[in-house]
Parts: sequence; structure tokens; C-alpha cells
Amino acid sequence: MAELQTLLLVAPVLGQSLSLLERVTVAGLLLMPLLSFLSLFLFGRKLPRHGDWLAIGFMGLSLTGALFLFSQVWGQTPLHSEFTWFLLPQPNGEVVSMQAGVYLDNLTAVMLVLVTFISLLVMVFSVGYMKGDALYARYYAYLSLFTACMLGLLLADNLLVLFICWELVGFLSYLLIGFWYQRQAAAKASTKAFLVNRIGDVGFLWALFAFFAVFKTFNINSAQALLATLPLQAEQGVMLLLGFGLLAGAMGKSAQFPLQVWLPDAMQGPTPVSALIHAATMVAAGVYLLARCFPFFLPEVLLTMAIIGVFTAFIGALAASQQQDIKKVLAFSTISQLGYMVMGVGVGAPEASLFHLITHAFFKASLFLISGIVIHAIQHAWHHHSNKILFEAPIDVQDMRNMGGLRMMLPLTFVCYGISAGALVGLPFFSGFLSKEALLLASVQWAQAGAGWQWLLPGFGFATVLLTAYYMARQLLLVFFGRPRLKLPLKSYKYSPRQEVSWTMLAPVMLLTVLSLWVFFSWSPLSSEQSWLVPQIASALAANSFFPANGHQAHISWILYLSLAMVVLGGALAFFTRQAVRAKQFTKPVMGWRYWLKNQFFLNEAYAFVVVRPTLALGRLTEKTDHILNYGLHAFSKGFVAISKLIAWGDRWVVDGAVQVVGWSSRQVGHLGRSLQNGNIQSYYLFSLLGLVALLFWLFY
Amino acid sequence: MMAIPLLHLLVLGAILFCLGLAIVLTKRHAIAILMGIELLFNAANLNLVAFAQYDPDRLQGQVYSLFVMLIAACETAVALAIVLQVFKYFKTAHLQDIDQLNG
Amino acid sequence: MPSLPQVLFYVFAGLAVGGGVWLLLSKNLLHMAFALLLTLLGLAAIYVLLYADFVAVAQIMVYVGGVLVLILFGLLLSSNATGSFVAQEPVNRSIGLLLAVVLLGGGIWALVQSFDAAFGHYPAVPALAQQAALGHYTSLHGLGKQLISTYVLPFEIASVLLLVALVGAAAITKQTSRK
Repeated sequence: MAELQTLLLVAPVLGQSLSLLERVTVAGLLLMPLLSFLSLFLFGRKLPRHGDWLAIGFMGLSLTGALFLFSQVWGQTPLHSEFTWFLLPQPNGEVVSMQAGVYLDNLTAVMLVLVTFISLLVMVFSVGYMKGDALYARYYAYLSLFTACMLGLLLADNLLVLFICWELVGFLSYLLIGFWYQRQAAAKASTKAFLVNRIGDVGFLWALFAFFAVFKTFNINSAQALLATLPLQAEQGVMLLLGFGLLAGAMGKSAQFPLQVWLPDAMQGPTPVSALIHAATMVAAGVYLLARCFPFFLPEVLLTMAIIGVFTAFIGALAASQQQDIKKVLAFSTISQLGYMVMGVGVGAPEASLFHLITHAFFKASLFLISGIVIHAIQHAWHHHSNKILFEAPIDVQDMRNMGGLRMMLPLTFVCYGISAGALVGLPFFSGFLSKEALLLASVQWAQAGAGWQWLLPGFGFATVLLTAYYMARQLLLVFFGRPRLKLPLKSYKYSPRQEVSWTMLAPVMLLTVLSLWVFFSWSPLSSEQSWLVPQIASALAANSFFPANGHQAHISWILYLSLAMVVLGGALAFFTRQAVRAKQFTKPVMGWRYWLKNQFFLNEAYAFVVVRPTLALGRLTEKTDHILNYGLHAFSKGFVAISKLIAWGDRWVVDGAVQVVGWSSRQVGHLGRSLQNGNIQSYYLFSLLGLVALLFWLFY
Repeated sequence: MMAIPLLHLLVLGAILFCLGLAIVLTKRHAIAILMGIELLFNAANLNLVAFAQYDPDRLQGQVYSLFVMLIAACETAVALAIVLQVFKYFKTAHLQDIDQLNG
Repeated sequence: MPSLPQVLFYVFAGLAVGGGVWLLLSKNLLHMAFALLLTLLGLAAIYVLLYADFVAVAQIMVYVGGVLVLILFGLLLSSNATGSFVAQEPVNRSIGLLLAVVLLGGGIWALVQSFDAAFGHYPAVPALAQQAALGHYTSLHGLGKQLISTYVLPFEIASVLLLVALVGAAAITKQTSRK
């Protein structure tokens, strides 16, 4: 019957160190969204208003629960309770008992509040945004289930449960990206997101194998305790596998180069979903995982992580600077910011990453919801207009070339946008400034401690600040300034003559915007050192014993001036090129380098083109060269056959053979690369089995 | 009275399991692969029943094997329904030819 | 000198493995179905030898009577006019077989290596056989009691699952593509 209790989620509350009230709250926190999912999924259509009040009410209760747990845990010793999940008899007669449970520390508590809070706001926003959708009830059901899984991910005390929830949120993300599955693009985007995530998840799975092989447990805290006692020299290989596997998982989920291609496409989902899942919560799960597992990373893994992070941040910002779709700008910006966070973990400052994660969640959710308002307004206006004029081609309501001058129609939205954008680019007095400052400081300290070339990393970090300022100012200018480029009556943009948008949509945005101000995170607007959040989060994270501790936490003042200069420079660049940008964006199809940036260096195409085709072509080319050489050598040796048969022999076997081997092997490499991605379910099965066999082999020898 | 040695039962289970695995990996037709999966289920069931001999009061293994059969039946029904839909849509039931997700 | 149950076991084990090998090597889908039948029947017989008479009957009823018939129907419905039941050449043949053989070898090796340590303390004559030796034995009573006492909740959930699978299968099959 123990299995059944697990199934019914009763067991997690049978803990040791949580009080009864806390246990009930944890169970309620998980059960409430699940209950809301079940009732909406099954009876949503029959309920009044399709049950949105039910989902919002349950989420409000969850938020209350999360706040209660926060008040219990914050600044206190972490709470932990676990139960025996299942027993695993070993061949030598002993029984390994697998534990699962709930781990509540400062980090979990603050993340719980964050997730439930943003989820609640997004649900409220969706009342206006999704009004009249055919699958309205199902939308809320999915959102509820997503929140439940995300909470499970945060509460899990061990990697296996975390992995299960990780997969579940990925699946929910798939469902919600493809929510309008009748659209081909949405269906394709959801499949793509799912599959690209699979690549990362294979890495995660391998990391799980490695984790269990080393520690014989999945519990993160027990493993941390074991870490000091392990003969690490002997376990180097597995620890590397573990680190790179976790990194791969995070790269998939948090959209890091080269697996970031799914996130821009994920914007096919409804905009509130983008705000909740693809900006604020789920994509941050990768960073959360990296921070949680920070002590397990070897220096090589951390270095890779830092480089991948900063590179992603840079190219994400580059791509964002040339988008025309309002949501795509934000999507690439998310990729870029996630890159910062991953870099932060890589340079040994996971608490700064998590701080940025939290501030980013608020202002990015706000920005996405604002883009939802803007899209809604354009749609409203166009709908109004096209009722009168028939037979006109539909417009792309997300294209910024169709916007402009919206500050006149949507003044409150404009103000909110300005504040949130200020937080994103890192202006002082906004939350983003504090967290970005912390990250840049960490990267500079890392570079100071390391070799000279390591200065490239903060260098790219600062360049990204400039680009961030540029693309946000560009978006601001394109969307809210200038004149409306659609020749529609100004009144038609508004929700009603008195109101710019409905309150259900505006209120969440305003709340999130207010939370983008510095005062909620730190008393000092210019430094994160006085933040009440960071030290508490840092206390929840274990230190990495492989990482050379950088003792000096000194405040480096020039960072402040340099990043401010970068922001001003970026903003100025956008301001002074605004005419050109408008003209170019509006009339000509963009070509040249802009086109490159816009399509993020054609990375999607590149996967098909740069990796697969050239290797094949190279194979063919070398084969051809080989033929030519063959001919030439043949003639040559015929001419000089009298000189020596020996040379001919040498030619044929040494030179020829080498060329042939080169040609053959590059062809094989091409084939190998292509065959890994053949979309064939049996091959995937085969690969995973191969991995299993290899691992078993490794374990038993 | 000589009982059947447990080791031999386990080896038989392993052989059947690997046969099933080989079938799943090498066959083209979706239904052939389904048969391979049935073989995998059966190999697992054999182990359950073999161990149930040592548990006369509760017969856990046998009960589990009944549940496995039930799940297998459900799985076959749903999988065949899906295969039929796939066949209707792609005009083939060869999994090798269905690679829409080719990247 | 092996006893009668042992001899019978090796005969039926041979039947099951032979069926499996035929299943693996055959290219004709109908032959494969028959090979599967052989394996299933062999296993049912082995279950009887292991004092699991009810499981054996269930094996025949569910697998032979249900699953296999379903598979045959599936074969009939998914064969196009030109393609007979002859399947094409196998895929990933060498690597697939290699993997299976490696796993089999490794599995048997591990079994033989660790068998005594893991199960050596088990009695040579299992408890069920001892009970059976006392008189006519059937697992039916035990199973029945277990199913309505200890396993009653899984049992009920399983019945719901069956219903859902039934409805689901019907719904999927009935669905016409909305294009």
C-alpha cells in the first residue's frame, strides 16, 4: 500500500521536522493547483465563466500557503522531511532505500512565493487576454497543472523527483506552446521545443546515472555531505559526466547556446504563457538546478558554463536587436538574460544568478504582459477597422512595424513599460540594476583572479549591457513613440472610451511593474550588498570546494560607471538611429548583417546546413580529390615506372591511403552527426540502450 | 521431489527479454515491434511468477503478474489503435519511414 | 536424474525460446504472430509448473485470446493492397543484435556471478512446492483473497484503467483526420 500512498501524495507530509501545519500547507500547496487542474479539465466547460474564478481562487490559496511557508522558513534553519519511496535490493543482499521528500530552505521559500505570485497574476491577466477562446477552461487547467509541477520541482529534495517534475513542466510547456494547435506554426514550435529539450534531458539523465553511481543516493544534501569524503581523483570522469550532463539539461531548459533555438519559436503560445513559462519560471528552472547543484561542478564544467552563458547572453542580445516581432525581441532578451544567469553560476556566484532570476522574473513577466496588452490593442483596433472595410489582407498584429505612437492611446501601459524596460537594461533605481551589477561584479572578480584572456568574459558581459539598452530603447521607440503607422482611428485602440485596457489586464502589470523598483530588494539603489535577499539565498547554497574562493568581495566602483556608460551609449545609439531604423524596418526588407542577426545567425538552418551538409560535401570533395590524385599519381608513376616500383608502392599506400582515410572518416563523421537526429524512434531507443550498456559496463568494472 | 532451479528460470527470462529487445530494435513494422514489447512483458512476468513461489501467503509476484498482463492488454489496445491511425495517415506502418521529426 | 517437472520445464523453455528466435528471424508478420503464440503457450505451461495455475489460464485468455487476436486484426487492417505480410529487411541489424547479445551475456554473467550471494539462502524447494506436496494445490484461493483485500484499491484502479483504455482505443480509432 505504500506505493499507493505515494501516488495519492499523502506520504510527503509524513515528515519528521516539519510541523503539522507546515506539512498540511506543503500538501495543500501541491494539491490545490492539481485539484484546480482536475476540476477544470473535467468540468471546466460546465462551470460558470468556464471556471477561471476557480483556478484563480485556488492559486490565491496556494500563494497564501507559499507566503506562510516563507514566513516559517525565511532566515531559519531549513526544514526537511522525507519518506521511503521504494526499496532497491542489491545483489549482495543489502537493501538500498530510496528516499523522497520535501526540502524547504530560503531559496525554495522565495521561489515558491515567486512562482505562485506570478502564476496568480498571469491567471488574472488571462481573464482579459484569453476572453472568448474556445478552450478557455483547458487553458486554465494547463496553467494550474504547470504551477503544480513547478512547485513540485522546487520542493523536491532529490534529483530524481526534480527530474520527474522537470519533465512534467517541459510537457506542460509543450502543451501550452501548442495551445492554438490549429496553427501549423504553433504545432511545429511546440514539437521543436519538446525535441530540443530532449537533447538536454538526455544529458540530465546521464548526469542522474552518474550522480547515483557516485553518491548512491539522489538526495542533494546527503550527496553534498558525501562530497568531502569521496576519493575525487578516482571519480573525476564521472564527476565530469555529472557536471556536463547537468549543464546540458540546464542548457536545454534555460535555452543556452546551442540549444536556445526553441525559445523564440515558443512565442507561438499565448502571450501570458510566454510571460509565465518562457520568461519567469520554467526557463529559470535550469539556472535553479545549476545553483542547487553548484557544489558538484568541477572547474572545467564551471568554465564551460561561464563561456556558454556569456556567449548566449551576447548572441541573444545581438539577435534581439534586429527583431520586428514584439514578442521575439523579448524572447531573445530572455535568452540573453538567462545567459547572464548561467554565466553567474559559472563564475562562482550562484546567489547573484538567483537574485537576477528573481528580479528578472518580475520585470520580464511585466514586459511580456505589456506586449500582450499592445498586441491586444492592435488587434482590437484592427478588428474595429476591418469590420468596416472588407477584403483587406490581415496584418501581423505582433509586428512592431504596425505599431508606433501607442503612448498616446495607452499612457499607463507606456509608463509601466518604461519602468520594466529600465529594470531590464539595468538603470539605477530599478531591480535589474542591482542584480546585473552583482553578476558583472562576480565576473570581473573572476577575471581578476584568473588568466588574462578571462577578461573577455566581463568584456562580452558589458557589451551585452550596451546591446540590451539598444534593443529595449529601439523597441520603446518603435512601439510607443512616433506616429501610429496603421491609419486607424485612435479611439479604436482603447478598450473603452474611458479606459485603455481592462483592469484585469492592467492591474497585474502595474503590480509587477511596482515590484521592478529597487526598494523591494535592497535599501540602497546602487548596490546589491545591502540587499536583504542575497545573503539569505547565499546561505542556502553550499560552496563549491573545487572552486578557488575569491576572498575579496570588494566593491569595484568602476563597474557602476562602465555599465551606466554602456546603457547610455546603447540608448543613444537607438535614439540617434531611430529615423533610419524606422525607415529601414518599415520599407525595405532587411538584408545583409541585420538579416543575419535577425535570424540569430541562421542557427536553425545552420543545424541542417552547417553541420550536416558540409561534412557530406567535404566527404565527397575529398573523395573526388582522392580520385584526381589517384589519376595523377597513376600517370606519374607510369611515367617514372622505370625509376622505382617502390615509390609507386609508397604513393599508393601511404599518400592515397591517408587521403582515403581522411575522406572516409569525414564522411563517417557526417553520417554520424546526421544519424543522431533522424527522427526515428527506434534509433533513439537504441542510443539510450547503448548509453545504459556503457554505463553498466563502467559500473561493474 | 526436484523443483525447477531458480537460476534457470531467471536465465530463461533474460533470454526472452533480450530476444524481445532485439525484435524491438531490428523490426520495421510497428506491429512487429509491439510483439517484441509483449515478449519483454512476458520475460518480466516470468521472473515475477518465479519469485512468487517463495511467497505462499501473499503471492505478490503472481498478483503483480496479473496486473502486468492487464497493463499489457491496455497498452496493446491503445497502441494498435494508434498504429491504425498512423497507417491511415502515412499509408505505412514502417517506423523507419515515419521520420517527420527528422532534424 | 531430473524429475518430470524439470524435464517438462526444459521442453517448454525450449519451445518458448524457439518461438522467440523464430519471431526474431522471421520476415513474415503472420509467421511472427504464430511464433509469438508458441512463446506465450510455452510460458503458460511453465507457469503451471511454477504452481501459478491461475496466471497460466490468464496468460492464455489474455494474451492468446485477447492480445494476439488483436494483433492479428491489426495486421489485417494495416496491410496495404500491394504489401503482403512479408516485412522488409530488418533495420539496425548488426548493432541491435550486438546490443542484445551483449546485454544477454552481461545479464547471464551477472546472474551466475551473484546468484548465490543474492538468492543462495532461498530454500531449494520453494514454499509453494511444499504446500503443493501436501495435497492438491491451486493459487486461485490465495489470489482471490489478495485481490479483494490487500490489492483491492489497485484492482479497482486497474478496472478504471481498462475502461479508459477501451474508450481511448475506440476514440482514437474512430477519429477522422480534420484536415
